[in-house]
Amino acid sequence: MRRELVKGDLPALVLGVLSIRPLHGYGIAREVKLLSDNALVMKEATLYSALRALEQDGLIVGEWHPQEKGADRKVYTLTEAGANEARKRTQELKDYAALLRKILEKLDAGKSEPKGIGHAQTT
Amino acid sequence: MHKQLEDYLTEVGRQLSSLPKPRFDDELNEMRQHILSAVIANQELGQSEETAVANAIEKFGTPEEVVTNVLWAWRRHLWQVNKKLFSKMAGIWSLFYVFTLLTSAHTPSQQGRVFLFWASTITVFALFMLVPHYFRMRTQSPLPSSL
Repeated sequence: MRRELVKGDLPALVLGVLSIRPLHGYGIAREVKLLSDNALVMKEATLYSALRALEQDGLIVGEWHPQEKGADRKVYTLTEAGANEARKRTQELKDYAALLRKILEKLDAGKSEPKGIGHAQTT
Repeated sequence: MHKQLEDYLTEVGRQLSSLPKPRFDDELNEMRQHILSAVIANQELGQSEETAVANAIEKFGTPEEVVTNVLWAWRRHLWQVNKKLFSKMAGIWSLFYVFTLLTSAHTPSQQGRVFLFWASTITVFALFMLVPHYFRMRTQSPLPSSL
């Protein structure tokens, strides 16, 4: 199953990936792809607007690093505020995932025992 | 390979020409580095040079998608800068209002006092309401649909 990354989840994922180690933009995209076993799809251009927004909010810092081969590369690192925000947002995502699972389980249980509005009442 | 990539970046750069040069250079350099990394990765998977570049560019996004995202981030930055500037200006405008009220209270003629009172009230009201609204309209926009 492949699905498009939901609007709003990308910054949290970026913070989560950068909490492991500093990375450049392509590295972050590759890491998200690897972590999801190629299931999550994103247009890579959206990654950079998320990185800019996180930089502006002071959660990450981007620095150009010279490379042995080729041009300089911009590597992003979490700030202290970013590390705190990463923990907070990943917890929110986990809570949200748990809530969705709970709702879906109840829906499955409801399908197996039909009752309530919409069903004909016998007299 | 480089021609296809350079044509793509030239088109993106053309649409981003309104950005300040340091920001423009930063964005284009980062895009170039990203796409080149993707091309290398694609070639390692056995793709030909031309296919690798085409796939890397497609994965990155169309010029329109790229420009939408870059400009969204730039406008967000401008809004944050303007918001800070506005907060500082609000203090100065408040002092200006108090000053004009005091001046109008000491104006000899009744008409002068009324005129100064309403002129200063309307001016400060306009500054507080219209300027941030103007900046908000110019700098904030809905998130790009692909974000």
